[in-house]
Amino acid sequence: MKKGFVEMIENNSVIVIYDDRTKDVFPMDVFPENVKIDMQVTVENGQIIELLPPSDALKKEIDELTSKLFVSFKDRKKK
Amino acid sequence: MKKIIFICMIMMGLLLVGCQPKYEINSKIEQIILRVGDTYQLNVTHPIGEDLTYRDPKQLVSISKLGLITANAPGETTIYIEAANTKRTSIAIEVILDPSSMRVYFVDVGQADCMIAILPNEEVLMIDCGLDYESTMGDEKYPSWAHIEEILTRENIQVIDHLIITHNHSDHYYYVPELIASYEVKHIYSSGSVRYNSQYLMIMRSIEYAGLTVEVLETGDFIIDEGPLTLQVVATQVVEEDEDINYSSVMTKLTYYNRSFMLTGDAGSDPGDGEPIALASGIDLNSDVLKVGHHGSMYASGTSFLQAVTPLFAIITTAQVTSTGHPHNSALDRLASIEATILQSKDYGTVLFTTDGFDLSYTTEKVPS
Repeated sequence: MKKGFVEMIENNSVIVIYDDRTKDVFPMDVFPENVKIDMQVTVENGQIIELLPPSDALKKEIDELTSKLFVSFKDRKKK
Repeated sequence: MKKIIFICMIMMGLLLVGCQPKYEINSKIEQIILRVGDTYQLNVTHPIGEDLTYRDPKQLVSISKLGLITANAPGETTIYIEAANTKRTSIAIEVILDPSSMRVYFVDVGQADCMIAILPNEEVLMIDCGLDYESTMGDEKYPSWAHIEEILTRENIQVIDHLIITHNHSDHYYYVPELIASYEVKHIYSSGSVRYNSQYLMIMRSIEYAGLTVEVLETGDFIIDEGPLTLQVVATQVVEEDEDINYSSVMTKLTYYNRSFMLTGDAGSDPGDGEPIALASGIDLNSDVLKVGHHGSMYASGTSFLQAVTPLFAIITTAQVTSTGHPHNSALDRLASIEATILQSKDYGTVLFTTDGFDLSYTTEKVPS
């Protein structure tokens, strides 16, 4: 069983990147219609067994981190 | 008395009108930059064919009767073009002595992007450092990182002054953690768009760990603005969670004297995408080299955009194995219609352009079989 996320949806293909940084390319039709980028995917024996939106905890962690990291280029130049 | 004053005023008016030059010289050029020893043929004409005279008060350039300029000494001057009964016109001229060179590598990272430029101010600019996931199956990765390191080692680069992440896709930012761990990166730039996945979190954590920030760009920003050397953002935007991340691509124009590179990330031509934003920006998009948007996708390199850029060379970053079919024939046809020389990384490997801002040459790692 491998866990990962939907990296890209393009030209009827879905690229999934796993937590070990490997990847798989799936045809679009093996996913439900509501598949979106960043959805969390669990794959077993080449089958999609779970597809969930990104967790609230992950979103909160990323929002907190980027709010610290992101600065306006214009503001930096002014200093 | 009033009558006399009135008549005098009319006569003075007629006299003034009579003194106005009747003709204007046809000249579209306002400024020329030349190297010492360069020649340049002026294309200026008189509406009724009067002989033109050319004058450079500082005598940095010499000008023949037919308007052939020869640059003799460095500096800035203004040449005046005159003819009888004609409004005088002027052209600013800058003459450069031995300009430094700039090297721009489009690194073969497969169907992914990495551009490394060694700038004439000795700074290093990197745009994207991606992994080719298209050619990567299981644990066997395309040697994208090895190819990036090869160029950094060849150029003895330890410091990357400017790293632009055009957008948050693995084939554009996968190796940010490796880069930060192995090299000193001074500034990181992005559109300010966010992803919600474990890889994005890891990349942001690596930036935090290095004590860096991410500088969020806007269309029109000058990342570098040092006289003849400029790097300007021609399009970017923040995209929301459900929107196409390619639309956020940071598009930049790198210019050194008379030579320019248009660098597009995965921007495309659909309404709301990067190319229409760049076209609406009012920025001069004309460039000698175009890094073709989105690996030659049919949804990029629109006709209006290509006509504005009119590149001599079009670089397409793609691989032998793709699930997307890049580059698409319709994009190749549009590039062929503007007579750009197309260089695909799958055929030529890494492509190196060298320019002193005037001459432009390139070498390729491979010759297509």
